[in-house]
Amino acid sequence: MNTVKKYTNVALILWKRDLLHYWRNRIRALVGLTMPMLWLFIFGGGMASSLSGSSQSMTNGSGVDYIQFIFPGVIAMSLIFNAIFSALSTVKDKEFGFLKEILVAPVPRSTIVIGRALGAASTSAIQGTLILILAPFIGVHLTLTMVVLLIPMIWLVAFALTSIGMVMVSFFDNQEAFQYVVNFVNMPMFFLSGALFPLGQVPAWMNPLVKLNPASYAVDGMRRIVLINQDIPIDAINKLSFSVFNIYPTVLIDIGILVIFSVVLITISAILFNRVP
Amino acid sequence: MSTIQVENLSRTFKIKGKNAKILKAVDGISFSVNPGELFGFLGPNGAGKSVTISMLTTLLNPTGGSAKVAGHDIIKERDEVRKKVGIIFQDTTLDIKLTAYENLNFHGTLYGMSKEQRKEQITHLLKMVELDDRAHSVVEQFSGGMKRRLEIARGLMHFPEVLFLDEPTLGLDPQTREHIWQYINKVRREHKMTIFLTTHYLDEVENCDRIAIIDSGKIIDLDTPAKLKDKYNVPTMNQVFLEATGHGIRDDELSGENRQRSQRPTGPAH
Repeated sequence: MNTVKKYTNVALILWKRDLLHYWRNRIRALVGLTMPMLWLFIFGGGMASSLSGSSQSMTNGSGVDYIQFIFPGVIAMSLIFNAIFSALSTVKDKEFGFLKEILVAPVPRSTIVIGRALGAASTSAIQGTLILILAPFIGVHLTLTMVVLLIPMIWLVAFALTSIGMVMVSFFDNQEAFQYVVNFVNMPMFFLSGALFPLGQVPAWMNPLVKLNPASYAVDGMRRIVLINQDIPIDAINKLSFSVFNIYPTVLIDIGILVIFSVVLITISAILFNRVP
Repeated sequence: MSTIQVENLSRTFKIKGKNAKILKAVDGISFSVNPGELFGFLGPNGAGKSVTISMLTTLLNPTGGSAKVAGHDIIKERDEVRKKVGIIFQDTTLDIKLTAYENLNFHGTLYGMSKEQRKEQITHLLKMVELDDRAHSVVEQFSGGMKRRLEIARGLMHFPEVLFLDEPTLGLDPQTREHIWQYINKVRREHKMTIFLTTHYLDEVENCDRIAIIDSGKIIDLDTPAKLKDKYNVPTMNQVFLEATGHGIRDDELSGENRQRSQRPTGPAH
């Protein structure tokens, strides 16, 4: 068997293993939907109706309904929390010794990191995709194009965010410590991502943080896909976005930034995995 | 040519905190293992047995000395070494959420085996360790002994030249220990494999061709069980150990049996 095929198989079996774990624990998928439901129905619904009368609305005078605004934000929220956290499976493998079984194999560490990241990313991507089911109940009109564009975007975002977790796992040997620290990463990422409020008019000190936050581009990309496909004018959408050097991101720019971000972090993670103590 | 060639191998660890010091886990050991030999590393907990295995299997870098396994340098030719060794770790490293079959299939894929090769080898090995009827059961439901048997099968999956067994019978009841030994001997007969084994069970080392007695990171003596008993002029390995090191293999325990009862069935970490 040639080397490329061999290593592809290795990445695939690592991926498949995570999917098997997910499938054997599929009740978790349903439980995982309760958080997004709370945010959409209670927080989103409550905010939307209390803001509907005011002229200076939450959506920066764009005229976009808050529920439409927060829907992609809640998908991003689910991805931010699940994706970084899903790297926990690698810490678990370390703790229970299974990682040794992987590390003594004659396989490049980059293959291991990619396989693990794909596995962890896909479980959170599936979780994020499931949120689309909730759309009709809150008045977000899904079109076929929107779904076809959103799903790959969700997978890319999941992969980019998982790669943060994959870099982090190198520094942790036990699950508790990892879980504790993850909260200090994903909470600020979530609040600074524009999932809940538009980033166009944030205070000056917050501005650089927003622009450096990979989750901001994730939210922006998904939000643009959802809103463009509901024929909302681009000017209105830009009011909900943020500009970097006076340029508003487009879906393609968001994708580009997320791809570069993933490649850089996966490379760092592979280098860290390659160290022998 | 020796299958394992170890030259002045050392590993130190920095202990941080209040009692900061440098711990010499393995302290300049040298030995060689011949092809097809069953070589035993006998020593108490903390003697440096697992650290040695970790170094010889590329999971840990030595801080001094060098070693070759199956003709390849453990630092410079890691991937070559990895291809040629099979390891059964001290603690279970199975994926308990997967079935026995899936665990072996995963392993075979990691080692680049083709689909047909994997299928054939899994069928053969599961039969050998008498788990063929449980091939599609999730490992979570297995007893400690069954898990060990599955790990032995997994260690053999990719036709390694050298098999490393780190305390293969730790935490198992005497009957299961006996059973595991039957498999190890069968593997030797059928596969003519070089086996490197660590243990602190004195009765088990009688099975070995040669034994290295290791204590506090140093090899105290090395020979066949019979010659060691002759040398110290004592009838049992227990006494050999006592004579060679000046203390019992575990001063805090009376017999292997007592130890069994105080342990968790799956083999705890040390």
